[in-house]
Amino acid sequence: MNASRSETRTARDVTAVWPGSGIDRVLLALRWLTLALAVGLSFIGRSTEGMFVAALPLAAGVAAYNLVILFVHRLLPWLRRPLNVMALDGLAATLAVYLNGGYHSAFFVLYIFVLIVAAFRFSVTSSLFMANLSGFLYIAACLLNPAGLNAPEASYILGTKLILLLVIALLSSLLLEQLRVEQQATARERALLEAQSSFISAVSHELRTPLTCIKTSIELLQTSELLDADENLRELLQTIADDTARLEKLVTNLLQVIRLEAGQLELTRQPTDLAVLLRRTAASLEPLRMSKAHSLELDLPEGLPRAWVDRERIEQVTANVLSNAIKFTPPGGHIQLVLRYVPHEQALSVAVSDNGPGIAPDERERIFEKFYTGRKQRTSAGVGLGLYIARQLIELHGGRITLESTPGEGSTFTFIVPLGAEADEGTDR
Amino acid sequence: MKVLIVDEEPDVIKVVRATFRAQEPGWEVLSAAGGEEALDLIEQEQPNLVLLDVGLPGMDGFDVLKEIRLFSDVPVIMLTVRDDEVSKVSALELGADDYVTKPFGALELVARARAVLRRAEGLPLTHEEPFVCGDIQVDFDTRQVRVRGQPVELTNTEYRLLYHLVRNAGRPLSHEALLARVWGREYTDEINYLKVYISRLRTKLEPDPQHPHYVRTEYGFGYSFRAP
Repeated sequence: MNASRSETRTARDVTAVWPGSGIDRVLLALRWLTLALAVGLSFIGRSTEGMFVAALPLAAGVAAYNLVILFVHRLLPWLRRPLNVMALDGLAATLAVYLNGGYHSAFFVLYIFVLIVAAFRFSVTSSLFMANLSGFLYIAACLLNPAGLNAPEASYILGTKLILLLVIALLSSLLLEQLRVEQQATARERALLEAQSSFISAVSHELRTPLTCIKTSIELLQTSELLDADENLRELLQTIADDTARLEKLVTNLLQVIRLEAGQLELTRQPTDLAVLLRRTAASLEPLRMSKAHSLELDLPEGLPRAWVDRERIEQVTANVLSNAIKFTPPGGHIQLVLRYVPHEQALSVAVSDNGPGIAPDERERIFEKFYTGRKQRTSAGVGLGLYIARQLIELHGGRITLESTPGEGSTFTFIVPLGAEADEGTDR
Repeated sequence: MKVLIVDEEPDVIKVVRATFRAQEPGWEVLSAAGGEEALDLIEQEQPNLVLLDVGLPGMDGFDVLKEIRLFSDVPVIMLTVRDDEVSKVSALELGADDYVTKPFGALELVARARAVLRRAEGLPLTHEEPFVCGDIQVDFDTRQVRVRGQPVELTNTEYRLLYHLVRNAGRPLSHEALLARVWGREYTDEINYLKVYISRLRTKLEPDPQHPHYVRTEYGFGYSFRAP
């Protein structure tokens, strides 16, 4: 492994030598692009006959400069540092401006090029410093060239060009700084998502694998004939089974919360007869309901439109709300499960009512919060994830969940899910 | 009946072995802790069913499944801690026959294994007139399917699905009905199973699977096969 890593490093060093990669290559490419720009600019306002006369020295100048740089870089590798490269470019641009008529020189664009590269490489301050330096060098070149300042508009042009340099330096630096910040934020978000995913995988594996062994073993033991003779053992085993189920539910809820918050939970929607689904959910909670001797009234009309929902998730929400009603209503209570079509919303509403103790007004919103278990600590209150998940799942369906409650008289939880468009079905995989 | 369980956790292997010993004493349970070992065992022992964990060290369960499908049609049930739909669909698309999420119960696992083996047995041959619709011909006697005269290889599950569709050609069948008839009543909520297999059928039968001519989607309801 070490050998291959060192080979990779050597290969990278070799490619860094001229013409090299990264900044050197970019600078070279930009110089040639600038040459093209300079040549193009020099044509503007000139007669056709004068074109080649103006263009040839420009082309020859930049080409010669690049060849010199190539040679110098080989001899003096330290000159390849970005700051030095830019300083050299600035000086070369000044020379080119001086030799080409001062403020008329098309080589002025070289300063802009140096500024943009500075913006890529350094901070806003450095870029502005480079702009000031470029302006200073440009003015010096114009002053040194007697032909450069022989027109009355010279000072006006010099001032304008200096401002232009500053504006370009500032804008390009700010723009690139913004891009850098966005890139870093995206990279951070990606890293966070990856960390969340690997956390989910690790937790899933570490918790669910031992749970599999415990759950399977309990089931096998419960079917064993040995238990027939020992009532005590059977009760103990049932306790382990119940607690394992609680643990399994907790693990599932925790993982589901992580997934919901990471936006990684996807719905598998299918056309669903909610009356059938609700009846099935209520039936699965029959043992719990009977243990509390509640009466259950199902008002689930048939023939309502089918809803486009994820059955497992809607069943989970219903089971959560219904089991809460059963658990928190004193024995012998009355529970109602009502399904209705809401035509003006093109939705179905599911309401679970109980005649339990009700929920205080200041708690009605808080009970949907994560980890909120209510002020009255109840032994069976759990960790406060059920209603939080229920709200998230219903909202993921494009619906909403609400609570109406009168302390001492009871509560009604209602969730509304849109029927969903047929187009949501998407393509079959 | 030979069942191969592939899982890196010795405890999981232990409980699965105990489960089958208790529920299906006649079945022989083989085990492997990694992908390579599993592939060797499948070649040598020719098991009737493979229970394959996704989170294997090195070569993961999906990779092992891909390798298995290169040389064997043995029914495979994926066992995994990953309960997201993407993993489930990926497994089905790679050719898994079922997908069981950990923690599973002993009885659930055995029920799933029996259901998969039942599906793998295929439908009994029926003496009916062949079904012909356009380029597609289904011979119920030999269970052979031809498209433009060329025989097409279908897996047992694909044939079951096609069989129920063509027997009801022109009549839409609901998702639930198809899932119950092809996979079993306990699978009626598993719409992803149906979608994956409908897609496979279309790939094998349709001239342009993106614009199906024969296997048609009945939006918000199910699927139908074009009437002859």
